[in-house]
Amino acid sequence: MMEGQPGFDPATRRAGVRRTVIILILVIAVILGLFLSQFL
Amino acid sequence: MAHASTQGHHDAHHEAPSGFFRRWFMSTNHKDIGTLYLIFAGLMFFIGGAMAMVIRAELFEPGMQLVQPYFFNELTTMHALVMIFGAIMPAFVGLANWMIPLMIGAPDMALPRMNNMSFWLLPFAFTILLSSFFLPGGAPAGGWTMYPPLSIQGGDGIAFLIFFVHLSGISSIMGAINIIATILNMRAPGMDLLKMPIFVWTWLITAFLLIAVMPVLAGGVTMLLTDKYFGTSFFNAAGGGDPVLFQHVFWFFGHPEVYIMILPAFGIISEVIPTFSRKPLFGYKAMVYATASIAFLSFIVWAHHMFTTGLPLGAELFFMYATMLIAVPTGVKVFNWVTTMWGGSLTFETPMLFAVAFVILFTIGGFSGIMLALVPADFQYQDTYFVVAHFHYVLVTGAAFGIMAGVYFWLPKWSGHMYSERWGKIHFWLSVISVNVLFFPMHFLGLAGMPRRIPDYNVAFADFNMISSIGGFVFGASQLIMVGNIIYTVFFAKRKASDRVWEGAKGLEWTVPSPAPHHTFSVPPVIDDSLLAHGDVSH
Amino acid sequence: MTQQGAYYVPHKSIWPIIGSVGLFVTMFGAAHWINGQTDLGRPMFFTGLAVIVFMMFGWFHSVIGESIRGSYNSQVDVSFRMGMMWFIFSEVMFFAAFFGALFYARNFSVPWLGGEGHGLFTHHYLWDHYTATWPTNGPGNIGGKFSVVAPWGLPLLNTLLLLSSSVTITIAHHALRAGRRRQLLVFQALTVLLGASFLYFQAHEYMEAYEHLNLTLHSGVYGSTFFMLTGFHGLHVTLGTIMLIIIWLRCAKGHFNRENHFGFEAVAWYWHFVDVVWLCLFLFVYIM
Repeated sequence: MMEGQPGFDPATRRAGVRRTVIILILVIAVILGLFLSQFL
Repeated sequence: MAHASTQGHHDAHHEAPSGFFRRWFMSTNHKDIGTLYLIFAGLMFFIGGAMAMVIRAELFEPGMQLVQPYFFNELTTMHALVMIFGAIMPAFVGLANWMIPLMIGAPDMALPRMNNMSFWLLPFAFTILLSSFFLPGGAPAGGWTMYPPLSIQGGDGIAFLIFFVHLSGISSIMGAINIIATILNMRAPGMDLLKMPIFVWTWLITAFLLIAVMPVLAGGVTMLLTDKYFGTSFFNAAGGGDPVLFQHVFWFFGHPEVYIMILPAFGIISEVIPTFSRKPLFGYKAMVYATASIAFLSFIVWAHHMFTTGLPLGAELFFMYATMLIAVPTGVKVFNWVTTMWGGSLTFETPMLFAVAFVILFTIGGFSGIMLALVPADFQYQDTYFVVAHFHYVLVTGAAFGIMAGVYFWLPKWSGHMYSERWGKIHFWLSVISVNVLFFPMHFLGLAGMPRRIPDYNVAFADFNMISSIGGFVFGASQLIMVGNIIYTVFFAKRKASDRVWEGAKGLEWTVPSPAPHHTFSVPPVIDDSLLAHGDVSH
Repeated sequence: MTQQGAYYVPHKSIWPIIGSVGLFVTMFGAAHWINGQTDLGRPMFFTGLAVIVFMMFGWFHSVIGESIRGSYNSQVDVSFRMGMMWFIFSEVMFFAAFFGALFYARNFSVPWLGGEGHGLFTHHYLWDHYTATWPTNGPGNIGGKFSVVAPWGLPLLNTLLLLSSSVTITIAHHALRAGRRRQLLVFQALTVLLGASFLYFQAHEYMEAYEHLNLTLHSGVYGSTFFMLTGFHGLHVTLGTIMLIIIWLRCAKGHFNRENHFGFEAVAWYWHFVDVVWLCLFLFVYIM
């Protein structure tokens, strides 16, 4: 049984982009929070 | 087409691999020799990595914990030599061995026997180098740059280091000659120079750099040898020489050397990004010209490693401006990678993740390089952890990530099996996070004035060093995941890879079966331009 | 070969690994030897050299055999040519390192030590009695007073010898291409003789320098650059002469024909390269 890369699926991609953007915002929020906490 | 022609050439002449010794020690097969190179590079990656772990453990807290200061110096010296000459360079030569004949439709390397000798010199060269740990006076401890007079004031190890450089230099030169002859002479009919995959182009230029500068290093270390053992005065001011002369000779080799370690990675990234963007590479010709420009500029920037040695002002200015000029062709490359992804149908399998991380993190290393290129600023950064941060961004998240992207990208073609995507992704995320935890704080340490190559430091640097060490341990440990994944893929994986492996893959190497048979393209393939990534010269 | 005209990919070969072992033993031995462990180092060094010589005989034996059997097509020939060309280029860069050291010493380090430009403070604090000259053994007078080899004596003779050897090897090459066997053998032998006499006079010059001029490897930066440059050149002439002898023997055995004689050409290229290096040496080391 041969297996290659699964084909490109726009719907999966859209979900992936949404997930990535959410994670990025969370990471930035955490880093910003850590930074600001230095001044409290 | 090309595929068909690979099936019908089971010559009686080409014996099947037989006998362990005959197959691996007497090989003339580019795939077997490529495999040997890659295994050797992996081994050296872990030996050099183990040294780095000890270094980071010693630096975990201020004060002297684990090792003697002199042994610490041996470790920093040997870590660099093992990683540069043992891990990064052989890994690239291994990839070249495996992929260049497949990519250009050649039956093998141009000079197959010499190819075997290039490889087998390396284990012996490293036997000489690593044996110096057991000598009176220990391993060389004057830094991998071997600056006199410090380097020739240590123990017996320096002679072993010098002969190691000679042996591995012979190996590199023979390897580079072979690669040039292969690319220029062995292309299948119709594989014009400007239809070649970018990886082949970058290696052609890298091989030229190798032949041009490895002999210069050999000459430089020979002068070091005669200065220590035969009473010459090349680097002795009392005899009319100059220690700074060694630095000129060394960096005339050393600066092209850093491009030797990054240009093939540029090539790999330029293969991976189009494949996973399902789009041709943006600006193929611009990429070729940018690579050539970087190679040319690499010969006229060497003294930026020596700004604080008291060069004449005119030289400082020339080398500063020439160095900053390199940002232009490098910028072209980064722009083209991003533009290739722009509007593409992107998926993020492990090779692509490493490639994207490469583009971002290598660029960070490039930016700190521009900071270091400024003469007035460099007087501050010189010999601090800022420099360490800079070259680890370009060598670890640059060169090493490029190699990892290449290994995941081509492993299905080599082994015939798909690697575990889940573990590949775990490896990537652990690596990319920990490598930044490891090296990013070093920028701050350097700007605050922490010197390189010193086993102890002011308590003011304690926090960032501890963070850095934790990142280091996680990064070191996560590389074991890659080894596990490779072993699993080669020996245990059930999923057979298709010939093309990746949906967007283009080029001759994807027309042969997976795993690639022992002998491919014994008869030059008929090249159909639509199979090639750059069959249409106009883009 | 099953298909006529396909690229020749050799069988498995033992010679590369033997060569690697030979080089390893030689260098490992040399490293021990110069560090004073003579008992271990010297035998290893010479054993290694013997292994390398053995490897060269074996490897060239198989290559010559394959060549005579006609295994090599024109594409293989091009690979060999490229290999030799790029090897010579790497040799050029090796010599460039030593010429670079010479130019640096003459244009920068020695004038600076004499108090010019950037050497001001070194000169002022360490050696304010020193005036920059060339030749020099530096402000420390390393190796004691010495005099230099006069360029218009032996070095001029050596220049003429090497230049005429380039002419004779070209005549031999034309003879080979025209199929004039006798002329080929005579002129190839002449080339060997000229190379060997160069080496004889060079050795004579070295003895002269050591015994009468007090010019030694220890004579500061002048002695270092002089002996390392001429020494590495002499080593290359030695190897070149050995190669010429072997090619002469192969000519005598009839290994070459009018079209196929890359072995001859490779050695001729090498010989011309050695010749050019000598011209640079004569100009920059002896005359200027």
